[in-house]
Amino acid sequence: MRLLRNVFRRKLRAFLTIFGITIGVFTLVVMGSMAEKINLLVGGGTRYYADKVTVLDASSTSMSFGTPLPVSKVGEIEKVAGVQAASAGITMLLEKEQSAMGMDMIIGSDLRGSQYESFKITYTTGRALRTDDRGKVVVGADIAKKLGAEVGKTVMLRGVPFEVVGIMDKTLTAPDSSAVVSLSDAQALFVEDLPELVQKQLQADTIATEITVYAKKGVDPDELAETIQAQVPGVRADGPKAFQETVVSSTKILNSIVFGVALISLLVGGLSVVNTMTMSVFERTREIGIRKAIGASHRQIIGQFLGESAAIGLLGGVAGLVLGFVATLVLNGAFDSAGTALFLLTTRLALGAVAFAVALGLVSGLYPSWHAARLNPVAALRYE
Amino acid sequence: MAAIERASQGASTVGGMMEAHIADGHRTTTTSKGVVTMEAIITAKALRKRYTLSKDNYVDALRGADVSIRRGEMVAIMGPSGSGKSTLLHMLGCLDTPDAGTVELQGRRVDNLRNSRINEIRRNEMGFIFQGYNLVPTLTAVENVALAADYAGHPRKEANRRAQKALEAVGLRDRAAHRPNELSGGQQQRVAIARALVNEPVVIMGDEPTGNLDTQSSADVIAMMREVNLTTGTTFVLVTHDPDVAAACDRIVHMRDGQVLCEEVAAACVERRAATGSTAKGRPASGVDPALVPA
Repeated sequence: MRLLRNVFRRKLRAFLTIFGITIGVFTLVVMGSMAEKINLLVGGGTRYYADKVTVLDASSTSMSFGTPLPVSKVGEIEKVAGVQAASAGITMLLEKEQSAMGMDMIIGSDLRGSQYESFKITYTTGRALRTDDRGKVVVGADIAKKLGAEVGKTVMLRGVPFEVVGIMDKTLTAPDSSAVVSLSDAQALFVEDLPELVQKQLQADTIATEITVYAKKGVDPDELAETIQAQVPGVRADGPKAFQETVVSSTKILNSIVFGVALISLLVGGLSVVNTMTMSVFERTREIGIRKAIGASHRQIIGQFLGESAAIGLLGGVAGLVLGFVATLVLNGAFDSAGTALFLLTTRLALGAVAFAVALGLVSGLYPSWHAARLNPVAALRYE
Repeated sequence: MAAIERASQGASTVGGMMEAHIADGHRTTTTSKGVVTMEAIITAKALRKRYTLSKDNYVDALRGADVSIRRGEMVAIMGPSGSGKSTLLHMLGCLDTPDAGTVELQGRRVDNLRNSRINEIRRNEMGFIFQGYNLVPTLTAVENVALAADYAGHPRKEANRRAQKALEAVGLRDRAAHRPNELSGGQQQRVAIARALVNEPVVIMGDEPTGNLDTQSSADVIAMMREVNLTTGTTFVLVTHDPDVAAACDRIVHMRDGQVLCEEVAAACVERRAATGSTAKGRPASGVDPALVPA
């Protein structure tokens, strides 16, 4: 309490300094929450892609779809040595026109690979999709909320009614915003969307947007991807490395930018702590002289001033955390209608942000306290 | 009259508080006859101190000052402004170090010690009273006193207990929770005395302890210091301009131009001692040279 009394000796100055740290921590918390959410999505993706090869049409670029490829490629791919199974799938956006936050997807799968799938999905209610299901859908946690889906009820996907048979548990990654239907249902929806001229040339049941390949045990999926690309004509095969290279590296850049901005604002806050503590030591020269005259050691003086600057860091940190927490709640609430939470305030981020603020306070207090401890008591006592 | 009564009331509480402390006897050096021995507690020899103001502008505050303080005595250091009396007090009190010369405290050299050792001496063996009281403005009276005990390594609770007791001894128990700006000058100085006493030091250094006080408060503070000196045997070294302070002391050291000019026994003190010395309860070491006391 004495410590706080000293901190708040000059109330406005203390408030402004703490506010400086608050803004820094607030920025760190809000931007960090966004980065954490993205990291989690990417982490899920990394796990999902860790053991499989994704085969697209040769015209595709890494991780973006080109023209569809024929389902018959499944057979060709399964002939390649090291392939356990190949599964044709359709991935398309839920909305015809992409909305701002709309990352919702319709996934159609022939379910041929489900027994090899290492990314396990559990269900809040209902069941998994079966191979013979038609007009049935299993929805992710976020999309279920958005569509108001309940098991047994009907939801509309691109204007077509589907009966909800299962709702997946929250995974905090891609499946949360996916609606999973059978391959043939997805093929029908996909073709519907194509220009009429193209529609006529295509047979709905022969197309897929991608083929997911499961490697045999002990086969490196990245090597398998190369083998498939070499042996099967007209396809592009990507292993987990491709996902790493494109997505993970770009999120790393995003992370650096996000944390960089936050750290710069904290650094500015830290400088204001240095300024405040230096001023405080200057103003309290006489008091330091008294303390030294009555026997305070260097360590006790340093401890006192470091304690004060750490307290500034702690108060600013906690205030910033609270503000940041409220901001992420409000922002997530605002985007809730889109079924997508953009911010995720993790425990490690919360603790890290406050710990960083305290550490910043301590570092900022180092020079002023060292200066205070070194004052000559006689000179300090004479100081007016 | 009221002031003197008040002072003596305060003083008797000091005596009460310190009786146990005297009983353990480790600071008293009375012989079987009750005559005080002549042990020097602080000896300073040939102290020199130069303050450099700029490249070729300096002040020689001390130019070979010698002084010896005896255990249990109350000494006044007097002299005109700039005579080096405060500087001498700082050297004796381990607040500053001389450029040349030696200071011995209870037989040990203290002028050449490391900072940490000097801090230790200041908090365990010295007490300080200043002209401007020098209390920490954000702390209450009891917190100010406890601070010194805190620095001496007592746990918070024990420090507070000691502080309460010391405040009681200076008659300020009911002002314990007041901040310095809520106390009168005399009360602030009494808090400072309590702070100086809290670690039961061997020497209390005072730099113009009555310099900012009115006559009444001065008398109060002087009586209190004298009583502490008499009942506990704590040595007092007081830099002062105040003739009342000097008169209450056993000995007066006169300084001029950075040197000790002469010493004299305070006459009033001699008379008072002769009159009251024999009746003082548990009379401790006074350090008065028996030869100087009129038969």
